[in-house]
Amino acid sequence: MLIVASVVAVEADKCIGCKACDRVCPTEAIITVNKLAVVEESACTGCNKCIEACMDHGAISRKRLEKPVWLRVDLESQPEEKVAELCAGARLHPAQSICPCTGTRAREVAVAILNGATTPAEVSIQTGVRGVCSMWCTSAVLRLLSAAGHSTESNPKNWRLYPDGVGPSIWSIPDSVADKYPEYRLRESRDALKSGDLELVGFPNIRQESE
Amino acid sequence: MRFAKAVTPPHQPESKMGFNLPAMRGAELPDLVSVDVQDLFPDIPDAIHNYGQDVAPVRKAAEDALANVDFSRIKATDSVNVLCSEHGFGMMGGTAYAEILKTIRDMVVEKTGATKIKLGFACGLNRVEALEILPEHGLDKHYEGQTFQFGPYDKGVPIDTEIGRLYGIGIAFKANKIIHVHYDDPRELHFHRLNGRAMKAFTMSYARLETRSVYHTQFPTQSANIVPRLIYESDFIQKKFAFSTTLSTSPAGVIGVEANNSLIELDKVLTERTLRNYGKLVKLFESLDECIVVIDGHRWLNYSHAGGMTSCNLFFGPQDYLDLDLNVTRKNQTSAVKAIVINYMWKQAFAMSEIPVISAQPSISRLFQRRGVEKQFYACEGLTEAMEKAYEVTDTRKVIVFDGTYGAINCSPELAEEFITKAPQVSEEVEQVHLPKWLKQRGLVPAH
Repeated sequence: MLIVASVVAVEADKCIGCKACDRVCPTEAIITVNKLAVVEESACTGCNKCIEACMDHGAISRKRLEKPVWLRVDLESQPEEKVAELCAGARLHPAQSICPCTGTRAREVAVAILNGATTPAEVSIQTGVRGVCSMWCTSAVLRLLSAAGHSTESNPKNWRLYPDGVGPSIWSIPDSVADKYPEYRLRESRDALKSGDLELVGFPNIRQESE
Repeated sequence: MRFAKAVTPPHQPESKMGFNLPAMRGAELPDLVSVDVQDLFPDIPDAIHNYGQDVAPVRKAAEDALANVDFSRIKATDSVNVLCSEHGFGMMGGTAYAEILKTIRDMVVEKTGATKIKLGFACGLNRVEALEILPEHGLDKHYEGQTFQFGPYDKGVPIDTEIGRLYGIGIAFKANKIIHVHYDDPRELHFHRLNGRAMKAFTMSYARLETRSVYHTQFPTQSANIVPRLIYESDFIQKKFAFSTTLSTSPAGVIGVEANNSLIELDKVLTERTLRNYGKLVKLFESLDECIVVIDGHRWLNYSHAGGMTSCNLFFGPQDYLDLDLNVTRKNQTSAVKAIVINYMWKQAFAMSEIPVISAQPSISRLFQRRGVEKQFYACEGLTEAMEKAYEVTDTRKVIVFDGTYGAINCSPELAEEFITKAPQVSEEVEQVHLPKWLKQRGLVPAH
C-alpha cells in the first residue's frame, strides 16, 4: 500500500523531449509525445525517478495532490485459497512482506494479479509496490506474474526493467557452484529452505502477520 | 555512577531535498552523557583520525597502502573510473573517505601517467546526494570536473556469471579500468553477515535494481554474497578491475587504509579487523533489551553512527548475525528498540511497521505520512516534545543517540550504566567463545 500525496508535472518550456524520464518510469506514467514529456497522473506513484533523470534540465517537479490517493487492493476481492496458491507458485508466503518501503505483502500483489494486472506497471499502480526504490520487490513481483502465466519482456528502447536479470536464486544454484564456493553454504541453505528450517525473510524488523 | 558530558557530534549535512536542520541536536538533550568506547573495551584500537581532526594521517596511510599496489594494470592511455559510494561519506563527516579518493587520483596520475580519470559516485537513493557531497569535499575540483553520479535505475550493462545474467550500471563500468573504494563500518551485518562483505558493492552500489533485488530476496543472508562474488569474478569485471582500497575503522575512528589488487584478499583483512574491532560492541548492543533510539545523524535512518556502530545494528533483533550457523527465521525477530525518535534524516530505506516512530519536525513527518506504513506514528514540533512522546509510549528511560559520533556513545545515564555493567562479561564471552567461532567459520584461523 502506498499513499500518493504528490505526482510529477512537466514544465513544457524546459522539456527538450530527450526521453530520459520515460526510460526510467516504472509505471509508464510519463511518456514523450511529439518531443514533450506528458504525465498520466493516475499512473504516477510519485517515485521521483523521472525528476532525477531530468536533473540537468529541471523540467520535472513535484505537484502536490489536493487529496492523497491510496494505492491498495481490496484483499477480500479474491478467495484466500487462490491467493495462497499463486503465492506458493512464486515461493512466497501470502503474509510475507516483499517491499520494505511500502510494506506491501505478497498477498496484495497476488490479489492485483488475480484482479487483472498482467504487467509490473499495472501491479505497481494497483498496490504501490515498486513505487519507491524497487531494489527489493522487483524480483518478487516478476515471480508472482510469472507464476500467473504472465511473462515480462524488456524493451530495448528504455531501461525501466531488465526481466532477464532476476533469474539467479538459491533454488537454481548449480551444484558445481555450490561445491566451488563452500564458504557461502549454498547446499546447506538450499537444504534448510527445503526442510523448512529456513525461510527467506527479507525484512526481519517487520514482524509477520499472524498466519 | 558519574559520566562524562555528551560529546559534540559531527555537523549535519544540509539537505537539498527540503528537510530542515534541527534546532536542537540530540547531544543537547538534558542529562545526556557519553561513554568512551575504549573505556568499555580497552582493546579497541586507537584512531589516527576522527571527525574534525587533521586528515594528514589518513593521507599518509592511503599513500602507504597504495605503495604496495601493482599499478601496472593501468596504462597511460586507459580511462579509469574511481568508484565510490555515498555511504562512505556518512562516516565522520566524510573527510577521511574523501581524502582517500583524492590520494587515489594523485597516485594513479603519478604512477601510471593516466589522465582520463573520473570519479563515479554511487548514489544511495538519489542523484541529489552528489550535489550535496562532492563540492563539500572539493572532489569535483580535485577530479578536474570529471565526476558523475549514478543510481540503480540507470541504463544497465549485462554481466554474465556462473549463476546467470545480472546487470551492472553501464556508466559505472564505462572505462577501461575501475578502482573500487570501500568503507568498513558495521552496517547491515544482518544482510551480508560479514561473509564477503567487501564485494557487496557489486550487487548494490554498482548494480541495477534487478540485481539488488536478487541479492536481497532470492538468497538467504548467509549465502547471498555468492552474487557479488561471481560478479567480481566475471570476465567482464576482471578485465577492468585494477585494485581496491578501503577506509579501515574501529569504533574509536579511522585506524588506517587498506589496498590490494585482489578484492578477495582485501576482504579477508577487512573481515578479521571488523570481527576483532567491532565484535564486542556488536554483542553489547545485542544484549540490550530496551531502549529509545534517537536518529540525529546525516541522511540515513539506518546508517547513522553511535560509537562507530550503525543504527541498523539495533533494529534487527538480538541475534548473532556474525554466527554463520544462524538461520534467520521469522520466529525470533524481536527488537530492543521500543521507539525511534527522528530528529534528522531523510532517507528511510524501509518501513518501521511495528516500532513507534516519532518525528521531531514537520518536514520529516511528511516522509512517513506519505507511506502510512507505521502502525504508530507521531508528528511532533521539536526534539523536546518528541522525547516526551517517546517516554509516554514506552516504559524506558534508556536512550541512545545516533548522531555520527565515533569514539564515544551519547546516551542517557541509565543506558550508560547498563553498557558499563555489561561490558566486562561481553568482552570475556567474545574473546573466549564468539570471536574464535566467527573467525573459524570464515577460515581465518586454523581449525583446532
